[in-house]
Amino acid sequence: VELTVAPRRRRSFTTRRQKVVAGALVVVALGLLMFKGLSDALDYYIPANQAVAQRAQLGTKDFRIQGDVMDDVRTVPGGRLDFDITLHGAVVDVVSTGSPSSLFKPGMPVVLAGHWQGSVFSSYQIMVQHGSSYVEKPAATKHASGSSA
Amino acid sequence: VRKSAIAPPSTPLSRALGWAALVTLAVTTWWGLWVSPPDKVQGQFVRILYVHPAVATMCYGGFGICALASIAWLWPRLRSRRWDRLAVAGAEVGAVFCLATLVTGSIWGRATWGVWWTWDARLTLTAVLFAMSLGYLALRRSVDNPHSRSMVSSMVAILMLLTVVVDHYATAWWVTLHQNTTLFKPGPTVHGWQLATMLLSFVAFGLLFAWMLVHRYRLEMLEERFENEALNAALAERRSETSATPVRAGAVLRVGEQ
Repeated sequence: VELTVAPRRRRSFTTRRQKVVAGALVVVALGLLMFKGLSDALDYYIPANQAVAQRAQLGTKDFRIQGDVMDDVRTVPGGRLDFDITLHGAVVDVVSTGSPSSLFKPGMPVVLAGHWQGSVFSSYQIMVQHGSSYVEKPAATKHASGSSA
Repeated sequence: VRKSAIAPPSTPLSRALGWAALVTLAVTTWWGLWVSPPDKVQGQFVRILYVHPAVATMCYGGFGICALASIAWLWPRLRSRRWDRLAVAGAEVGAVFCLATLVTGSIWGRATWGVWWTWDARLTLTAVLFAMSLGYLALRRSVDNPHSRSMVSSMVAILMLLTVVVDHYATAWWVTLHQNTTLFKPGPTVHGWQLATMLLSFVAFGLLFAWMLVHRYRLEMLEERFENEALNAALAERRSETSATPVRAGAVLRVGEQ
């Protein structure tokens, strides 16, 4: 190994201006990356009433719709689920091939990924939404239903 | 390296922190698994609530400390090696808690939402934050010059802090699958044993975070001391070698030719 005690040449990446330009480039690149990456994530779903109003514009492209599951969830041949969701008075007929979590039941808010197929929302993924509120299960029913969540 | 030159691996304060973390974590586990009742909607899945929000907060805390220490280092009047040590300690501990946040959140997501992962704003930003923290740590390993290393990594740390702020407010600013805040708002929407256990989990993981931070800081200090000792030993050896035949400035020194 050869070591010299002669002063090293200054690196090119030393002036304040160059540092500022390089830093700005990194920030812009990261910003663009995050914007591109988040552009889909920012509006994660469209509320059911808005999705109904925008049906013509949405066409058959994939998007996520949100609403509350109505009563009468049916399993149709082929293992698909047939149910309705509602939000602010709008009702959407849903047929889904997705398998929801065990929290799925009438009254629960859900986010469904899929697209319009005529007046029916054809879904391939069901996600059960949970709010920020938590309520303890009454002690009397604690053991009766176990982990039925 | 002389043994006396290395500080002891722990101090009474760090030992007390460690024991306090252990005890509170044990009580959190007890309350979380046996004392706190299941949730009316989520049932037993609610128990992840006693880990996930606390580790997410510690993740933010780690990156926050990293950024604040970096700003202190960048400030000419305050510039000191101790800020740089604190920054790297905060980033590394923050990265560990960020990974724990992603893992526990993923488990909760599978149980509640029905999916392990989805690209909503909160989740995406947390993943970006984790990637940035790994980038920060890799950057620190790749730059040899201590001043340049501290300078560049400080800038990344500030970017990480900005990401933390956006990540925290993501659920309020945008439409996300992830729920909004439960605790840090007027009138928290959790009560009774669930609230008590959740608050205790913040104390427990806070103590664990502090313990890890203290030890990571000390480790950084010891590494520096070890490097300095090794350098001093090498210089002393070189001086003893060259005392007989002085070396001119600009001359080439050949190492290992014996």
